[in-house]
Amino acid sequence: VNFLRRGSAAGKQGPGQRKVRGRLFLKYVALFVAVVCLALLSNDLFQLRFSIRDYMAMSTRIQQGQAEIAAAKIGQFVTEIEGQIGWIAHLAWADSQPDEWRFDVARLLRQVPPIMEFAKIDDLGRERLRVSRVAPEVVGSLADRSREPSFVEAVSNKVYYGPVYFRVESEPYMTLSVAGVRRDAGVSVVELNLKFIRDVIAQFKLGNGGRAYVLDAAGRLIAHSDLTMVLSRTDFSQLRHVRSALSGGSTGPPEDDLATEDINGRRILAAHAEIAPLGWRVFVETPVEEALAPLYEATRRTGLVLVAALILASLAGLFLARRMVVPIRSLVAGAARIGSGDLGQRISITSGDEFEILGAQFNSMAAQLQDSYASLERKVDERTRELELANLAKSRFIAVASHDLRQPLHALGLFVGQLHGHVRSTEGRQLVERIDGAVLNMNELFTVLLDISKLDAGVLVPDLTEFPVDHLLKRMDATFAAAAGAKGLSLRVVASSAWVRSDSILLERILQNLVANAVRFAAHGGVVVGCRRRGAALRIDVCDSGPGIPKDQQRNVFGEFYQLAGPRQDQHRGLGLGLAIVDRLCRLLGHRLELASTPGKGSRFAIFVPPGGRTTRNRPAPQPPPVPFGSAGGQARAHHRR
Amino acid sequence: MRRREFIAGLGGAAAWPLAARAQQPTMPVIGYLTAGSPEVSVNAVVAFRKGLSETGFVDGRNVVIEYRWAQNELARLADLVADLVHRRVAAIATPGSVPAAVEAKAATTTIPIVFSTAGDPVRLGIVASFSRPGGNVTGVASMNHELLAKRLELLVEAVPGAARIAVLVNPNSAFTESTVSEAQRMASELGRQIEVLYAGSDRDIDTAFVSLTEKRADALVVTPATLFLNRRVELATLAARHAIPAIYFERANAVAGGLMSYGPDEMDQYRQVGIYTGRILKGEKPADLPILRPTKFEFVINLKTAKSLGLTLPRITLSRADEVIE
Repeated sequence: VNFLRRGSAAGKQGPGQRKVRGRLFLKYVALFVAVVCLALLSNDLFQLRFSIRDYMAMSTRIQQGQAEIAAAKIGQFVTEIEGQIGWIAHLAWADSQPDEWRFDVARLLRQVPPIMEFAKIDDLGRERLRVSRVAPEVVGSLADRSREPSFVEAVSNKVYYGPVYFRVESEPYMTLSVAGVRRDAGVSVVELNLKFIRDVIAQFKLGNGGRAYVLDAAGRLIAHSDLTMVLSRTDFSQLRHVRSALSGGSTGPPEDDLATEDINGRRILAAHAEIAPLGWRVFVETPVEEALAPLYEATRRTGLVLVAALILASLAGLFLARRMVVPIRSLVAGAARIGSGDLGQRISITSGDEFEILGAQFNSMAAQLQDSYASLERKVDERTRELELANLAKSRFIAVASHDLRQPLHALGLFVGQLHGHVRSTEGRQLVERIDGAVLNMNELFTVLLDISKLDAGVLVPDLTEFPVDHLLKRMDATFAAAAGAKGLSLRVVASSAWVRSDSILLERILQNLVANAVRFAAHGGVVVGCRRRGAALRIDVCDSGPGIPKDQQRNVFGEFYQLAGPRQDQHRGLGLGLAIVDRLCRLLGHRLELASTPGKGSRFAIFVPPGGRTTRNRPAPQPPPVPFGSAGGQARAHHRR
Repeated sequence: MRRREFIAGLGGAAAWPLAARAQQPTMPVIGYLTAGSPEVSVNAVVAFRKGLSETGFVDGRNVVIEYRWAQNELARLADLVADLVHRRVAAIATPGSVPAAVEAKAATTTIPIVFSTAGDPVRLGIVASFSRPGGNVTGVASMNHELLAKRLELLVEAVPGAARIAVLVNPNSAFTESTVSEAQRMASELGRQIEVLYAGSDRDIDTAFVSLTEKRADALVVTPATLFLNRRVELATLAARHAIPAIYFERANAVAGGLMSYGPDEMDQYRQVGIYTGRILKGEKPADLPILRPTKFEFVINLKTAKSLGLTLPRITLSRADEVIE
């Protein structure tokens, strides 16, 4: 049954196990969540990392497109003006009357607001007409303008785009001159107010932070989404992307770093395109923040998805962990209950997986344990019953023996007693005396044999109590004082206040045998009985001044019917069973027996008895042994523990 | 008792928005300063507030406009400016009033001033240059004064028979002298006789028309001045009464009954003043804001007036018109 106890002891580690179970649960959930989130997060971060670059590249490409469209529009703005001048440019001064010219120019100015001034120069370079929105008309001044580039260049190239100049050092203007198809048509020169380009730029939807501006070949600002930038002649030429555009002339964005800084130091994406006939450049800028706004929005949404995934993963992990842990828990609980001896316990898991198989294995194991335990119990019962029967038979035998064998022995004793009266002759009396002695010996021998057989059968169970050793010592004195005196021996019993833990009757029997032996074998001198503390034990010594036992025979004296060969052969030398009984009793009680002897001087038998507490304990009265144990060593009286 | 409580409750309810307004100490204050009077400046004020609202500022909601009118008494300007400076207004706007701008610039070098003028502000000395005004002053220059020659030309073209042309000038303007000399120069160029008439106040206008008749002028050029814009109806009425064809400097004059007008949209200039004031309230520095100049000059003809004058306008004049009022 011991292993069951051990099982229950293992079951007592409950709290520790519960802690472990909790950790498993959390570990499982955390692992699940971590795996899901790690997968999502790494995917998102990976995507984000590349998306930012892609987005910036894409935004730059879009801006590039915008810049090219803007460049085309601005180019168109100029070519349209060119076209609108066209019809008037192809007319020679002589083709119409001055009044008609004035009409035509008035119409041109009304139709084309950017034209601030118009001049018609004939093929010789003389100014025929000058119309301004601000100044009065000048007709036929014939001023010589043949050396002006607006005339010279237009004559050779048909069209002349003058450099940008600034009126009142603020407003950008440009001279545009167109030569007629015929040589005598001369050249028509207009002064264009470039502030109108802003209207072209303003058409582009560049977002809140987006900016577009136009620089001429020299890097001077011609147009900007914010007109005040142009009017205040803000210098854009030192911006990194502007510098690289003006010097390198590459139309694409720099590949190494897509972002750059604008005039206010904001991080922007920039693109530019050349306005073909003019040599100007359109720059389109978008703040990086704004360009990436959709990406950030997408990232935010991804973040939300991530959070949702986290929650879902947590729930799924929780669910799965529960599905994992609940069967484990019921397994652990079932195993613990089986371990604590409840073999009838069955684990019920219906998860339909390995856990169910494991549970079934547990159940079959428990069933087998239950079976073998039941058969074991049955066997134990059988054996116990057999033993009881055997014991009973033995007891019966002993009872029969003690009764049936003693009957004729007693009868024999009685007959010998009666024989005393009938025999008168001295010889006959001697014979009767011997018969009487033999019967007595036989009776004694029988009692001792019975005792030994009882000891050997293990029927005797010592009743250990604590008692003062002095009681026993005094009894020894009382019992053997007369016998010793009769032999002329001195018996000295040293009183002791020590308590011992032993069976008082069996210990008394040991001492009786030893003292009886001592008195019997000591021819002269005396016998001393006393106690001595030796370590944890109390040593009770029985010393005599007998013939002593030779060293080589000291072990044999404890054998049955062993008698020392000696000069004194008398009839009182005993049966040779006393020390055998002493030896068996000491073994039964667990007391060490020691013999120290010197031939010719004497012997000392010592018994080591564990000491008892000095206080009298409130103990129940000692129970009688199941089998009576008779006294021996010359004492005919049998002890019955009642 | 109950009635009194009710009234007290009403009072509380009425006071609540005021209290709410008082709790916004950050609401900036703009000083609106002109040499004129409120009753004739309605259009200007409307245009100014329109410009201001384009930058997100609405009077009473997130900005307070303190109006200061000199009622055409220039001497009062100094006190009015001093008061605004004392109140530490966030900006001073002087739409259409050069004297006010000059007075304000003299009074403070820290409070931003946004002006509008019909003349050249650099020549006036209130800004350093068009592109970089520097200091605390910026604004709008309509350059309307520069168009005198063009107006004379248009007038002569429309009324070719006009031999004697009167030019109505505001004597208090910083541009009076240059206007007069320009008019004299043009007179010789056009081969016409020029009579300069001065009018600095309402009463002067009547007087000027009297002398205009005395001098038997055939046509009239009204030079740019806030007074002549403000008194556009009176001018148109007087011109009609004296049966004199006139050219003005602002579309509003033609709309009010003037025969012709040539010049930039002055109302738009006032709107620009509002925009600039708003931009300054948002933190931009006047020194960084360049002087704005108009890009469009409109020639407007009032055909009703022409008809009432019994005037047949030549084809070329009609063909130049950007707008014809019929």
